[in-house]
Amino acid sequence: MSLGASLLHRLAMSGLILLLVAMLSYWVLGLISPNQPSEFGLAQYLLQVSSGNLGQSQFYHRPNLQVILQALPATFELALITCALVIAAVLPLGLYTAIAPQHKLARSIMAVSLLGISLPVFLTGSLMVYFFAVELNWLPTFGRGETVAIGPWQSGLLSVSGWQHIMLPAITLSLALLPLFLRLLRAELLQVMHSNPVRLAQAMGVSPWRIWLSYGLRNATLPMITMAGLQFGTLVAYTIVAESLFQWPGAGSLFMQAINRGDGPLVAAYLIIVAAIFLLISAFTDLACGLLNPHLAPWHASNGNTHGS
Amino acid sequence: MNAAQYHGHHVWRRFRRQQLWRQLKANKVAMLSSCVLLLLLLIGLLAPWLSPFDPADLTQQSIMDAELPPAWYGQGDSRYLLGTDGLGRDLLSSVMHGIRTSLWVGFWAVLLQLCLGTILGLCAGYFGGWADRIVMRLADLQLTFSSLMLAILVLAITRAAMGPQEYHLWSPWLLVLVLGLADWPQYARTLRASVLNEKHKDYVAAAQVLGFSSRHIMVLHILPNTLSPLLVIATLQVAHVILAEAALSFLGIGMAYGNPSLGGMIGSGFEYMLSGLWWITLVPGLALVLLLLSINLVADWLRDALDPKNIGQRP
Repeated sequence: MSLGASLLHRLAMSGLILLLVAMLSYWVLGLISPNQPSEFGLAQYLLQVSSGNLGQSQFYHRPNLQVILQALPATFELALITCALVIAAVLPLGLYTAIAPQHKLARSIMAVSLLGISLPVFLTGSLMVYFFAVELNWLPTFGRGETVAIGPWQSGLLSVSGWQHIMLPAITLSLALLPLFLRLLRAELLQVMHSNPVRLAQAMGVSPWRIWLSYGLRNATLPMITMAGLQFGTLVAYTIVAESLFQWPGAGSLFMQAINRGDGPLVAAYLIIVAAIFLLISAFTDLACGLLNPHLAPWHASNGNTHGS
Repeated sequence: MNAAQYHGHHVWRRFRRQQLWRQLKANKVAMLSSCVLLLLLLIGLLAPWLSPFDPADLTQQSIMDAELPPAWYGQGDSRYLLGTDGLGRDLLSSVMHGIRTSLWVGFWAVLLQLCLGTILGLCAGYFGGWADRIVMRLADLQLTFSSLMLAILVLAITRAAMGPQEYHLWSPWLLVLVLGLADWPQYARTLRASVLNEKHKDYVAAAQVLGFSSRHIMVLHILPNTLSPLLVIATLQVAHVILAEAALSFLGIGMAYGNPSLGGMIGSGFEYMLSGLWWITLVPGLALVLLLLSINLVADWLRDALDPKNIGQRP
């Protein structure tokens, strides 16, 4: 399959999925706000959606798209800082536990990571609030703090209070994701370290750091990206929980508020936008994997018959 | 005894020959965690008889006893061993009933997952072709979307559509239904892989020649060979479902207030935590972590113990 054909295939699939989600959200709209769909039919709703009009929020009396787009920067910044924290922690920890798997410290790190898998994100969040906000009184517990507008983007990352506010939710979220990625990175690295190319490099006297970084980490990147793409749904779910806990004014808490207020049009629009972001992320993951390992790419010559996965 | 029967009954045979038991005795972590799990199971099963108070009985709670710390603190009351919550309910009783709720949801949802995943996986592997393609494509989609996200969306929308009162009448069954239907792909994938592995073996061909029906071959010949991985996945999934139920109840779209749930208790304790009353959150929190950790550790041990590579290995 050529690059063009695989792009076309992907676009067609995405369009189909978005159409299905739009039909689903029309149905949801009817469930939550029964008076809404009677005003217009399914065909009219789909036409409206495809022209970029996601309707009006019952609560805010503003276009849904605008309401959601205003909440997205908060969620995006939270996700960004969380990713940065996870990467900053998982690389040294993963390398260390894979290089010295039998060492006491490495084994206790793995034991703690097993405990981390059993720690629900809302419990870690509550405990963090108790220690850092109630007992020590270091960090604020809710909201985003002061934001600075860069065009339409309200950023919390340009003020001191913004950074103080993002710390607790971001650390909570990254603690929830860390064990998963640590275990994956360690397993991948252990596998690479015992492979023939690495043994050959060791025998040839290549320096250990070079082996760890350019053989180990580079080979482990691909499964990590695939995993991150696969965990997108879980990440969104955790973000909803963390945003509700810390009253973070992002898309997740917006959704829960819309549910509690019975704001059908906003819930329906949220579904469509989450589906669109979901498709974007999965396209991006596939692209990154294809660039890193051309043998896996759908546009690679040998994948002509087995494409589509 | 033919190969199918031998493999099929190996879990049971090994239990009878007490190999699993010997392996359990040799592993301190596994032993401790299974004891804790057993204790929690007993607490859950016997909660209505063990707990000193009935959390659902409004006459047993008094606002005078609200916000009491655990009994070993100065202001504590010896009637309430682990303290009381903001409405004067005994935390120990609520936690016991909460464990019962978690286990109840975990058991039924995993049973549903197991049935659905087994049927879909067997059919996908045995029939192949378009059935296989559709099932596996659905499994990919479901795995990427994550069961927790699906449960949040479906339950939140159901709650908004039904209204809180009606929703809380149905919530326990809705939880089981959604969590049960949302997490089948792992079983299906494992079973499909085993079926593909087994289906060209001689004993399956022999059964076909003897004229047994597909259903008979799948259920009585192929399925028994895959019991061990299914058991491991099911155990891990119980923890997963309990965690999901707690998260949903924390968000207010899970269990109703009448049914004590560990996640719901942690959620309602959060506002008290801001004023320094840590035990209302920490007591159910610790119970939840203990439950999840012991299930995860037992599942980890079970995976190693049932791994065919380790068969015959003496501890």
